[in-house]
Amino acid sequence: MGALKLWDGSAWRTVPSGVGPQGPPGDLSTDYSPRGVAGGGLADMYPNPSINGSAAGTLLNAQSLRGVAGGTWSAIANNYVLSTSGAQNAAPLLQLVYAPPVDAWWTVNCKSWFNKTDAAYHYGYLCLVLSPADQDGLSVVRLIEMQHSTVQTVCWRQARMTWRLAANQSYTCFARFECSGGGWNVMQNDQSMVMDGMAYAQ
Amino acid sequence: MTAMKVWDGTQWLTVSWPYGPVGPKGPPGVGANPTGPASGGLNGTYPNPGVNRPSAGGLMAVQRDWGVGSAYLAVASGAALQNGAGRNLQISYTPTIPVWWDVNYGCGILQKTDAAYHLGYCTLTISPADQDGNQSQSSGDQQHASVQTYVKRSGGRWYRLAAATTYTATVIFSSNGGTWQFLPRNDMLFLIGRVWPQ
Repeated sequence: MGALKLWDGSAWRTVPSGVGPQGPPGDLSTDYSPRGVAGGGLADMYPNPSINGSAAGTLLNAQSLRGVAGGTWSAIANNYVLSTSGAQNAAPLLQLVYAPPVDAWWTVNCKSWFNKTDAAYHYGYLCLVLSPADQDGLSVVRLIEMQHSTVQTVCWRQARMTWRLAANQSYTCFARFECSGGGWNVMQNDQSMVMDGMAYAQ
Repeated sequence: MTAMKVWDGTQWLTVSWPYGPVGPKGPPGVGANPTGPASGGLNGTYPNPGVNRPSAGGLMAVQRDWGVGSAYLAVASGAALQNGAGRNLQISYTPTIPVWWDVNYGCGILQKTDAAYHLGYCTLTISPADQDGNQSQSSGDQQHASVQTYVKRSGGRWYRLAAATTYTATVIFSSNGGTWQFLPRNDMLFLIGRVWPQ
């Protein structure tokens, strides 16, 4: 459309055009999906939020330790922490560390085989130790066997405990051997020395 | 804007001009933050609903019981292990939907106190039986007071529970003779249940 002109007696002048009216409202949305930030048991953004694992009670964290492939018997003494290294009570220890982001249940499973090397009866414990103690004050689980090198030469122990952890606290769970005396070995191969942890929100 | 006027010799006439083109259409509307009650796999209220743990397959509940004593307790065949404070070591659960109940226990020290060989069991038992008729899981060892004086028992089992029934888990001791005792300390005796949706 051309501009409006007026003759002022000597020249044509352009009449300034007006501003057209506001256009009509936009189309009605055909996208009815929700928008915005998701919260509560959901996370991220609508319309494709993710599920907050803490709210859902699904696995928060899993850890797994094994002995060494081809590992063999390793001497162990009273109060030693089990280890996957050549010597017991030395790093790397058979232990898991976890700091839950929320209050959590932490199920830790530990299995080991022990060999009595002297011909006398003594007892030996596999201890699953949590440090610091959990929210109910529990910190140790002990399982005992009495052994003698020519009678109960080799015995296994398996300790499984579900600890109740506080949020944002770092916990260490390790395997310790306790005994009343005598000579002992622990099997270090990857099938016999095991520690697993699984955490879920309370 | 004031209208433009021209004088035609007798009166002012308003100069009219065509309007400009209609403006472009606005953008399509957008969705809004959701509101209202949530259901299905969610609960609570939008936009911050909770997650229904059974729908998500999440851990629904945990039960724990442990020993609170400090002295050995004699135990006879057929008796439940006691917690050291005069009651059975036990956990109970009443599911609102069909669930799996993962139960495990540890009896860290079971002592044979007479000089004869006998077999002693600890048997994890639930009552009533689960949906498949399962009730128990046993761990046994042969002991003698001067040979295998101290031996642990431990074990666990998954049970398939029906809704709206109360189930109780205990640990029952049984033997073919002799005398026995155990230590109901909190590091030596525990019973734990974890609940998952079927």
